[in-house]
Amino acid sequence: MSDLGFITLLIAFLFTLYGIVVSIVAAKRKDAALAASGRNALYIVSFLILVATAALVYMLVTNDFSNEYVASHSERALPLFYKVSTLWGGQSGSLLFWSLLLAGYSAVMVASLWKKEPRRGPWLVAMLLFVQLFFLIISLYASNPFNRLWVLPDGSTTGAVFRPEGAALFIPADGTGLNPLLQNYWMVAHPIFLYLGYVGLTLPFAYAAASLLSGELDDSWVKRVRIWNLIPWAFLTIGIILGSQWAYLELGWGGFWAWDPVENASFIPWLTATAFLHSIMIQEHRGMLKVWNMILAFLGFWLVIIGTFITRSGIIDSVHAFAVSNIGPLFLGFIIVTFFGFLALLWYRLPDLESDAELDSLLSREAAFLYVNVLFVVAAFVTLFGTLFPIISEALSGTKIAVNAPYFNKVDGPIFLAILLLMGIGPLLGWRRTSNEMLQKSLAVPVALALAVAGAVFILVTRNWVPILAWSLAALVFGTILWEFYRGAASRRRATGEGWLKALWGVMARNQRRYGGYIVHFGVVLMAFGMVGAVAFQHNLKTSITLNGTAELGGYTFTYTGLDQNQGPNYDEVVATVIVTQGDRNVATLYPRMNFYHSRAAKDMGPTTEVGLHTSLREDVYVVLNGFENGGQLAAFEIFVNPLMLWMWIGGIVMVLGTLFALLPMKQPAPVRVRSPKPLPQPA
Amino acid sequence: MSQAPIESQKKKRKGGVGLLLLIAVAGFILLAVFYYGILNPPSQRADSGEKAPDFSVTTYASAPLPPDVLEPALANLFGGNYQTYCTGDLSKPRPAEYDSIPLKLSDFRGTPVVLNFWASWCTTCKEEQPLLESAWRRYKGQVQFIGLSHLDQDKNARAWLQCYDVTYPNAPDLGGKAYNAYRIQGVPETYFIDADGNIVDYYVGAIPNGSILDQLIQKLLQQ
Repeated sequence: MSDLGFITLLIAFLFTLYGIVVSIVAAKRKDAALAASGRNALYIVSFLILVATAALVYMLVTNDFSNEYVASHSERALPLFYKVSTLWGGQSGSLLFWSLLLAGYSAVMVASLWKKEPRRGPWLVAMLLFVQLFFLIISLYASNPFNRLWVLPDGSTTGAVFRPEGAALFIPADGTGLNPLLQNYWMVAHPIFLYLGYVGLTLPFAYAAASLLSGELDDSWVKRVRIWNLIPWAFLTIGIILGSQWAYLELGWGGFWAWDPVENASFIPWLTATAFLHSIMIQEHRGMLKVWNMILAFLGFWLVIIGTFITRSGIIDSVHAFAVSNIGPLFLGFIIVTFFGFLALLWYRLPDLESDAELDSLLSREAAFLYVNVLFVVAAFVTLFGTLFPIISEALSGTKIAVNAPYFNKVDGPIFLAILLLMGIGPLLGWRRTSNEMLQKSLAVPVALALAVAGAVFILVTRNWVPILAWSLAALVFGTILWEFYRGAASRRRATGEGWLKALWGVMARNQRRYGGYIVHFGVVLMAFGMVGAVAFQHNLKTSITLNGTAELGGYTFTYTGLDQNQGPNYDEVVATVIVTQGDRNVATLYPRMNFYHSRAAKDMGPTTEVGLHTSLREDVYVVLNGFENGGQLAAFEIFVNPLMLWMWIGGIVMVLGTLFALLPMKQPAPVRVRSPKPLPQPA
Repeated sequence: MSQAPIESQKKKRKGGVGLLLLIAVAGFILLAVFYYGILNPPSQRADSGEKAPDFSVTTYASAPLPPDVLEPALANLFGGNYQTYCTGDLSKPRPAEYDSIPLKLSDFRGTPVVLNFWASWCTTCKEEQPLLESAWRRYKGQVQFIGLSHLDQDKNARAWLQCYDVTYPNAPDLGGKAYNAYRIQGVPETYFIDADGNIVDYYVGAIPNGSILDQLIQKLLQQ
C-alpha cells in the first residue's frame, strides 16, 4: 500500500508537469484541443491524489504499521473515527490532505468555469497545477506520508521509501498513538473546515493570476471570483470558530482565543479575505481599486502559505506546534517565487488596471468600503508583526521576545472597534455621495439604540469604558441592520401592497447578497456581544476543595462530592463530581475529568483535561479538574464563570447562516419596480 | 504573456505604482525576516548532561527598602493586602554575607546548585517562592540556592525578597545574559546543577509543591 501511494503520487507529479506545460502552450497558441488536454491532466491529477489519499486512509484503518506515518501517529486502540482523522493529525498526512482538497477544488472550479472562460481557462489550469506541483514536491521529497519503516544495521529505525543500505523492513507491534489533545470531536471537524478555507483561498489567487496572465482584465473577473472567495471564506470562518470552541473545551484555561501563532496563522488570511469580500463590491459598482483587489486576492493565498510556513517550519515556537520539520526552506522558496512572480505580473499589467472613477466623496459607500479595507489589512499586518516579533526582536537585539495576548488585544482591539463603527455607518451611505440630511435620517434609529445601550450599561452594569463602547457600537450595527430591513420591507410593501412579512421576505430574496451580508453582520454583533461579556466580566478561582467541601464564585456554590475512575477505549479517566447550586436552586452537576491516555505519544504530555461545563444564555459555568490527592480526599479545581459566552457561538452560527443565505440559489419572487429611497443603483 | 495588447505597454503606469511599491517593500522586509528566521532556528534550552553556562552577577543589597518605597512597591506587586503574602519581618535586613557582592556560578564548584529564574512581575512565582525558601533552609550546607531575577526593577525585586524573607543569594540578571545562556523561555524555570557544574535536571514553570522539589533535590544529591 505504501508503494501504491508513492507511485500514484509520482504519476500525479508527472501529469501535473505535463498539464502546466501543455496549458501554457495552449494559452499562447490559442489551441482549444491542447487546452482541453491540459484540463484533462488536471482531472487525472485530482483522481490520482484521491487514490493516494485513499491508500493512506486504508493503511490507517487497517493498522498497517509498516508505514512510518501510520506507526508514528496512530495506534491499535484508537477508535476508528480518530484513525481516519489521523490523516490530518501529522505533518505529511496533513500536507497530503491539503493536496487532496486542492485537487477537489481545482476540478470543481475548472469544470464549472471551463465553458465560460476560453481565454482564462488554460491559465487557470496552469496556475492551479502550479500550486499543486509545490505540494506534490513537498510530499514526494521532503515530507513523504508513504515512507516505510526500516531497521538499520546499528539497530536504529528510520523511515524511507527505498531500502537504506543494509536495512531490513521493520513493523512495530503497535503505533505511537495520536496526540491526545487531538482526540476530541471538535478537533476532527475543525481541521477539515480550516483546511477547506485555507486551501480554498488558492482559488481567488489562481483566478486573479489567470486574469493577469491572459490579459482579460475587465471587471468580469471580480464578479466571477466572488463566489470562489466566499466559499473558502465561509469555511475558514467555521474553522476558526470550531478551533476556538476546541480551545475552550479542551485546553481548560477558560478562554477561547490565545493569539497563539497557530491561531493567528488562520486568522490573518481570514482578515484579508474579508477585506477582499468587501472591496470586490467597490470594483463591481464603481470600477475602482482594481490593483488593490488583485493584491488582496494574492494576499489571502500568500498569507495562508506564510501561516503554514510560520507554524510548520519551526521558526517560531508555538504552544501547540504539532509538527515541525525541514520543509521550511521549500516553503520559503515558494513564498519568494510567488511574491515576486505575482508582483512582476501585476507591474506588467498595471496599465490595464486603471481605475474607472475617482473617489467622489469621503462620505460615500465606496469610501466606507475603502476604510474598512484598510482596517482589515492593517489588522492582518499588525497581527502578523506580533506573531513574527520573536524573530524580529532576535534579529535586531539578539534576544527572542514573544509578545502575547496583551499586545494583540491592545493593537487589534481598537481596529475591531473601528470596524464595528464602520459596519454601523457604511451600509447607510449611498454610492458616490450621501447628503448629511439623508445620513442623519437613517442614522437616527441606530444612534438612538447605541446611546440607549451605552446609558443602560453605564447605569446598570459597569463603568468600564471598554464594554460600554464595544456594546454600544454593536448596538449601532444592530440598529443599522434593523433599519435596513425595515426600509427594504417598507418600500416593497408600498410598491406591492404585500403584508410586512411577505414584503420582507420578498426584498431579502431579491437581494440575497445584500441581506445575507446583513445577517452575517448580525452574527458579528452577537459575537461581539458575547466576546466582550466573556472577556470583560470573567471571574475565576483556583482552589482546592476537600471531599464534600464547597467553594463559591460568582454567586454559585460548588460542592465537590466524589472522584471516580473509569476506563475509556485508550485512556483511563478520573472524574470529579461537582454539584453547582445557586442559593437553593440546583443548577447543574458537572463532571470535570482528567484523561490519562495510554499511548507512548501521550506519556510525555501528561493527562488532558476535559472541562465540566454548564452553559446558558446568561453565562457559562466552567470547571477544570487540575489534580487530586489522597485518593480524592482533596481535589484541585480551577473554576470560571464566563458571562454571555454562548452568544459567541450563536453569533458564529448566524454568520454561517447569513453566508448560506447569500450563496444558496433561491426561487426569486416576481420583481417589482421599487421606488428606492436611495439616490443610486440598487446595490448588491 | 506575449498576447498582451501592444498598446498596453505604451500606456503609462499611473495609478497603482505607489501601492505596488509599498507592497514590494513590505513584502521584502517580511521575506528578510523569514530568511533570518530560517537561518537562526530556535535554539534548544540547556539540557541535562550539558555543562551549566557560567554567569557573573552582583547580588541585591541586603538593607531593607525604606517604608515609603517598600509599601507602595508591595501594594503594586501584591495588591492592598500584601501582608497575607509576606512571611518576613519587613524591616529586618537580609543576610549580610550576600550584600551587593559579585557572584559567579563557578564560585560554587564542589556544591550542587539550585538555580531559579524568577521575576517579581511573575504571578506563578508567588506560589513557588515560599517552597524554594523553605527548601533552602532545610538543605543549607548541602545545596546552594541562587535566584536570578529576569527583566525586573531593583525596588520591586528587593520588595519581593523582603516580603518572602528570602535568605539565599539573589541577583538581577542584567541584560538577560544568564537567561540567554540557558536559553530558557520564560519565568519561573529552575535548573539543578551538580557539584561538577553539569546540569542534572530542570523544571519549567512553577514547581507545584514541596515534595516534587524534594525529589528533584534528592536526585541532585545522589549524583
